[in-house]
Amino acid sequence: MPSEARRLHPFTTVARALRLARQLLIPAVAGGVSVGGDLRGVLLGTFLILAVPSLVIGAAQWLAFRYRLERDDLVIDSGVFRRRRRVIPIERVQNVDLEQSPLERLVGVAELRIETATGGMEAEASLTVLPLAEARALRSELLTRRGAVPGRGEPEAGQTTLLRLGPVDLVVAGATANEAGLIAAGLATLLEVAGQTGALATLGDRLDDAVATGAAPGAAGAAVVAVLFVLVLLVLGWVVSIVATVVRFHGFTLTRDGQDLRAEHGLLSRHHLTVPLARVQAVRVEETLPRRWLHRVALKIDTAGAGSQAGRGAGGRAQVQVPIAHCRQVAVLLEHALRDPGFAGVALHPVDPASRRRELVRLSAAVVALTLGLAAYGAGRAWAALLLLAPAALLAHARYRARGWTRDAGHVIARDGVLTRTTWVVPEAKVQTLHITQTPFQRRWRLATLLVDTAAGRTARVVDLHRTTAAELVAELGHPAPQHGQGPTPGTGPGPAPRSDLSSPSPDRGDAAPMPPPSRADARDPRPGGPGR
Amino acid sequence: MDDALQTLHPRAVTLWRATAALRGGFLTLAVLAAEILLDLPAPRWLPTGALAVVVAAAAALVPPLRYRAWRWALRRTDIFLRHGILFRTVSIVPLVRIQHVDTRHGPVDRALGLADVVVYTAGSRGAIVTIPALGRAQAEALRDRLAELSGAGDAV
Repeated sequence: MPSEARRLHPFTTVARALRLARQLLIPAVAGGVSVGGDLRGVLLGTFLILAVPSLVIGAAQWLAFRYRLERDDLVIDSGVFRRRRRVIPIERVQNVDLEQSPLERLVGVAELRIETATGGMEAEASLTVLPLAEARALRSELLTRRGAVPGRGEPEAGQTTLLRLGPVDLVVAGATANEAGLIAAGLATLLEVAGQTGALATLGDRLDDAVATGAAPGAAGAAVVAVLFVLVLLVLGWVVSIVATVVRFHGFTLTRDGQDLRAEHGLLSRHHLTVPLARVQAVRVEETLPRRWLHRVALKIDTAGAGSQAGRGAGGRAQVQVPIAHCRQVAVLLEHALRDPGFAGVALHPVDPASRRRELVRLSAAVVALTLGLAAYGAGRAWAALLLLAPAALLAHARYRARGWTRDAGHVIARDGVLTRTTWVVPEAKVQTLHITQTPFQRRWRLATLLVDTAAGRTARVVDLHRTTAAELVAELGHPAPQHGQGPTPGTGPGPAPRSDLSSPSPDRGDAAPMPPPSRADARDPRPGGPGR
Repeated sequence: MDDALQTLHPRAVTLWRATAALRGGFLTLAVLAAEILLDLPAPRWLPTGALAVVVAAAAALVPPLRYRAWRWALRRTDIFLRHGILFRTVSIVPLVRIQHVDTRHGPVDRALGLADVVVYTAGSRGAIVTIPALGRAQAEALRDRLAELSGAGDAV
């Protein structure tokens, strides 16, 4: 590619002006209205006042912005008054994100965002906006050159499509994104039952009477209104969640391209994210309760910088989200995301059984406190609150059962969560720091929580290990092999692992049956109705 | 290398007492000012008095416990830290993960000849680890040693 300095697309002026105007519009209108004046006049005035300077500033920024691709660097000059030159070494380029808003799609331009991680400090270069063809060319140029840097591993030829999602998948994804739909269904059933028994009609009549006479509705009537209100909110939230998921992830395609992972999606705004696999810090498998019933999961593939200011501000560009996948596909996705063909299904160890006792004590204490509180306020039959001890015991058990951990083929795997179950898979080579925390109660039961920190932006944790197990794990994980840019390192730590049956580095490929991993990926409870209380 | 667990500088207790007294003192003054300005009904001086007692007790009793709970060590491949009176935390920072190291000292630290060593990694939640209240010379020596030992190259 020629190394002469290039300008962005002239539409940059409009794009910048619009961005500026959007930030100023609401305060300006609010200010105008509060000072006084009819809305139309204020809107017109605001438009005139904002439009011209916004366009001038946008044009100035466009004129001041130049970029050029040199042999090893991308050089960007910008700034109207304070000139600024940013030099981005191409081998440091991490994620390349091509994005098009609906307007940009009409004009045929695109935003190209380049994330780098230079020693953990995040720098983001944003080329807003380029002609689409040029953006594509620059992206592939950056990725090819980065791939050609020695020590990065041979770029493998060929692309594999890992996952494609259709509209039905996305509706399911949105519908099962949380438990709102379930709760709404439960409430609706409740009301339906109440309606069939005539209770609802009676209550409704009473409510009408109460409204007619101007008296406060009875407690039961108020309860029905509250339930209806919550129901409406839940259903609304549910519908919004479905629509948002469908719009955002429309046409979702996940591709493995050599040493990169590519995700493409979007109905209105198109996103095209490229993530080098060497930078994957952790994968989270998330299963809400309805998803577990449907054998579906969501995956979040975190790269370095997902937790940085830039990553957050940019709406999680350092993260590939797989909105939904069948649990049978998880093994394949994990193998590609973590570049480990030997990633076979493993059973998780339970955490220390004392965890159940600790949860029971915690929850019981809450129930007792509630009872005492009610009694103190002089509520009749406050002791009835003690009946909550039964579900508390069940919840304590469910919390204990939801927790599990193991080490497998150079990865730490940790699972937790009763309703939404999250399973972390962290390559041991990506572990940054390790922490063990103990609350006073945990110390009493000889329990400890293990925190495994990576550059992923969030910290994986195993709650309620036996403290000896936690200490052993820290000793073994705390000796990362020198970085070779490659993922898993077999045989971490000196000496044989105490649980050598699990840390055997490469399970026989022949044994990696095409069955779904029973525990990690699927995470179904063997007992029907066991989880999810 | 000194593998044994080390304590902080004994003057850490003085430092923490001083900072606790300063902070608590400001808080007490603020409450006192509020009491006077708002002209609260009787019992006057009670909130201020109670707060002053709590602050004084905390400043006197907590720092020695905190000091006793603190241990750290520079080991062959990592830094080990343990602290916390009730909520106990153990942290391991592998040397190859260190991005950079700072020493830091506020005015009170300087008066007492103390400094903190702050170790930065590329991690997320536990990315910044501090060994507080070391002797000034020791802190600077540790900082230089860590900078020398820390991994060169790409730690992400």
